[in-house]
Amino acid sequence: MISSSTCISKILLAAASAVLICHTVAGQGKAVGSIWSYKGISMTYSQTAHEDSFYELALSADMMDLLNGNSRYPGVAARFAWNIILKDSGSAGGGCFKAYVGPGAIMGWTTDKDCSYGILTGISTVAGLEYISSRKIAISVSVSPILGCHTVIRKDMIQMKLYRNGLIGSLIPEACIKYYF
Amino acid sequence: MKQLSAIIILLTVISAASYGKDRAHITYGVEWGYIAFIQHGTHYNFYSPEGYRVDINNNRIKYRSNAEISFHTGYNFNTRWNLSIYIGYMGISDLHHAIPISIRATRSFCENRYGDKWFAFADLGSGFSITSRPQEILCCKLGAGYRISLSTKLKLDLKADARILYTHPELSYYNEPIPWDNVNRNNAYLSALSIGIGITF
Repeated sequence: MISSSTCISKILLAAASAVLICHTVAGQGKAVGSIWSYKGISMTYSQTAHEDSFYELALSADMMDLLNGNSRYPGVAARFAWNIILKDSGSAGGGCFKAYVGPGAIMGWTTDKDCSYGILTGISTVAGLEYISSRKIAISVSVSPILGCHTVIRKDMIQMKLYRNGLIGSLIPEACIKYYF
Repeated sequence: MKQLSAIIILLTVISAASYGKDRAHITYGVEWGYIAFIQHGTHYNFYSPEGYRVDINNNRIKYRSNAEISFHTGYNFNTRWNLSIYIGYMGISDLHHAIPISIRATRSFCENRYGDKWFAFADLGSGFSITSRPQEILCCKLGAGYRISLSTKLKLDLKADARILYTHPELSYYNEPIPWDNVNRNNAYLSALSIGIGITF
């Protein structure tokens, strides 16, 4: 009887600590990190907006066509996303998980499939799962499909097409490492 | 028959008892990174579509970007030394993709298994190029990094390395591909710097 109550109290204490870690770390609000993906490499900054949402700003080197061998240099893009936390749970291991989804917008100077460099504008959706450790370091995996336009300015015309890389890369996972401060 | 059964049971018990102990020393994980190719040395010798022999010997500083991802599994011999096998997928400059397979020896500079620590590694391996006729590649890396223990089982590695690669790319001459049968030599030696992140369990 004593051992089971001790065990239960230990579990409750671990769970409370994990939830406290989540809220303490997330409540501090700000994080910097990097996103790595077949689509490119980004530097990211995120900040808590409300108790259940945060916004994220990312500056990317678009490398999808470079890694495919279709271009020599990466493009650049800036992405803004407003993420809503769907579920925030603790674990007995000392870290916690956070699932989020949210809309965003993207703008940049990138290549597209079978297309040269042009202006990219579009809207995006981010959906991800984040693990925040007790060390204030978070690892997350997310996907971000983009629906946008790719505009190429040539000598005699302006060509605007659907940004195909945004749909082709919609399910390519992105791994993010962030540090909360 | 009874003696044989007893030996089999004894060996089974010993292996089961040591299974838990060995699992603590086994490591596995994933690593990815950005590669900046800075030096390209090439020696190509082939017959052109017009029929004459072309010999190109070149060595120049040329910056090209690419990336890699690897999966690894290994064994901790003690708190300092780890030996792992890495299998990955990488791009080699603007030449082609490849699947490198290598052995890495890592030395940690801390006795504490669960603490943060600096580490250095040497990696040597082969692999094959993803071309119409796959050929062997060679890769050698020397690097170092910092390991952050996120929990007793999860480690985050931040690493950087310098590497040299040797490969055999597909050739083209004035945008015309050269058939493999017309190629006498297609050697490329590349040097690169890389930064990456790894997750190890």
